[in-house]
Amino acid sequence: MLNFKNKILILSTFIFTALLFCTGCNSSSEASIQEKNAEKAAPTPASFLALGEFSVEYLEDGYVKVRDGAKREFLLVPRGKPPLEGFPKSRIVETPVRSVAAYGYFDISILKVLGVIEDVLVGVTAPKDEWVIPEVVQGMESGKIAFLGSYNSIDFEVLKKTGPEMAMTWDHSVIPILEDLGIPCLITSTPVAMCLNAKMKFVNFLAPFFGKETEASEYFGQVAGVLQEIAEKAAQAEEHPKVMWGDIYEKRVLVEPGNAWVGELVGLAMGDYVFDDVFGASCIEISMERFLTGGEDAEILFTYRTPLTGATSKEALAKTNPSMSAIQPLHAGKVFAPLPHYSQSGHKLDEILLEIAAIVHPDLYPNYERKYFTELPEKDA
Amino acid sequence: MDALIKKIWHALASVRLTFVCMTCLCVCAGIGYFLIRSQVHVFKPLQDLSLISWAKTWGLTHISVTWWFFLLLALLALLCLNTLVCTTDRVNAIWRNRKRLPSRTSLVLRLSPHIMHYSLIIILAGYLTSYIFANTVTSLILLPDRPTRVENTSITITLTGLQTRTYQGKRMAPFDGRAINATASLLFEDSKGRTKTAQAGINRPARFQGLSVHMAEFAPRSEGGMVRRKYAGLTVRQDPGIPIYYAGMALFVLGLIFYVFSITPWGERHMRGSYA
Repeated sequence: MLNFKNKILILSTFIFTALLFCTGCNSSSEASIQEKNAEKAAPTPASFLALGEFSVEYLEDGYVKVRDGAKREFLLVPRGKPPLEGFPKSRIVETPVRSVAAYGYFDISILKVLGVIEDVLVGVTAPKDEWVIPEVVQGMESGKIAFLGSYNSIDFEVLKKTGPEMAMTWDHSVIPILEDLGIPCLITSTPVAMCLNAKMKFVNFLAPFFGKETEASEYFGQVAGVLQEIAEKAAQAEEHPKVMWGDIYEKRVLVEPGNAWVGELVGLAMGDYVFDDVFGASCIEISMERFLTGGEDAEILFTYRTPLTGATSKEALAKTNPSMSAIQPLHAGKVFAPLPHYSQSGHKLDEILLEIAAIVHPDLYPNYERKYFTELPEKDA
Repeated sequence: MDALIKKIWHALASVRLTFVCMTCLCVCAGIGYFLIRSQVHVFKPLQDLSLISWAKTWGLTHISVTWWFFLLLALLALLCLNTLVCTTDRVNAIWRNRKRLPSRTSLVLRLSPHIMHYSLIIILAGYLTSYIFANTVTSLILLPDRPTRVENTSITITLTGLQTRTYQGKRMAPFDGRAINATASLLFEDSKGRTKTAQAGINRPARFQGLSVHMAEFAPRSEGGMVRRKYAGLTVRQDPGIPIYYAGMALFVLGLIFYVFSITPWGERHMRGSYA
């Protein structure tokens, strides 16, 4: 017969066995070292920044742990200090970083915000004639910044010669090659589109690499101020125009999903984003039917194409794909195309946000002069 | 001290506690549904961070949207204790009266619901073990024929082939030539030279020495279009919780089989005549 003590014994045995199982499994795991170190050095919550899918965790003694767009953790080590245990060599970056190779326009624009572009940028993946950022053009002219080849044909000899201490890219496939070259590779894109908050705070993600947290905070404050202004002004709006952002290509229909920063911004500016229910990556593919249904009563269309890539007029746009002429913005609404320098203007995010708000509600921004988008005429001149 | 333990034991054995716990769990999970939807990105790192690391960073930083999760864990723990105590009490009662039962079969059949209860606790313990102790390597990128070491292990994986199946149906023009499935052929090797070839696909992990290897991404994804280097992106998990919840599930199935027998006329005949 089991008495009370025996019941306790059964219970204790059960709990002990469960714990033993867990502990046993844990001790056999070589992988727990990194976790233990991370936990030992855990920061106070105030020193942790979640920036969309990126994160920055300030540890003691100037060490920083960051998580990139591929969910990989890097340890930023102040120069002269030993690295903490548990991080592979390819994930240890000495700070401040002195030289960088970068793929993305937005990443490079953020280097400009941080005031380090002239000092650190040594390699890019677009030729000189595609650049409008003066520092990059000058750097390429002087030979300080090298053209590494396009994203799918990087010249790794040149890359090695330029000797970057770190590379920033969206292309996961170069990670093993760069790691073989001893260059830590930071993924700066995420599988899900950046929300407005992440877009604005991305500067805080790159800041600790260069010790430029103050500059990042100032920039964020500036953009947040403009956003506040947009929200306050939009509160006066009586109409909520329907806005769509996307394009139809030969076989594919691509749009910005509702979770992307542009979708959120349109909502904040009291517009009605027609792809609000679409969730996923930036430039996400949707069905033609969904695009056309959304465009039936939309008033404003933002295209991906620039005037250089075919968006010269509504008529020209309709010619690229006859189905597109069915959407309202092409015959009774407005169509805006980004100007070629738009994609390299990430450092002017505040101006871009303001301009989009001014396009959504032109009545609230009288006399606003556009810098980043152009309204397409009905026909080519 | 004994009196205090007895008091706690009786409190934990209360059916009222079960009811309160279950109600609170439903409310908590309901609130959680809306809070997760409001900020999905806060919870996504739980897929690859340990529960403790997540709690110290994402969890505490966003406490306004994560509080329900911590409460849920506490309620689950309480429910587990409640189930454990209630079940142990019942098992104890059956065991005490085993000699009054007509046969051993009757004893086993009477224990069947309690086996399932214990199993559920084991399954939950397995999940907790996973959340706390699993190690996940995200974005392990493999290029063809380049052995790549899995972080914090001595195991290397080589991509020996990447087979993509493209859409050829012709009914949906946008999908023409687009990859709709992919399988990576992998060669595993440990420090002792032991090797294994296996295939990992979407929703079809490969396993080697306690590692489960899941295909997370690959390129190229279409014929033509954006030119991409061939690669496979893997997520590798070393999860000590798996054997625990497999054991729990096996035990649950066993309990369920006994229980199904117990409610058949055959089972009822075997149990009849035993203690009430």
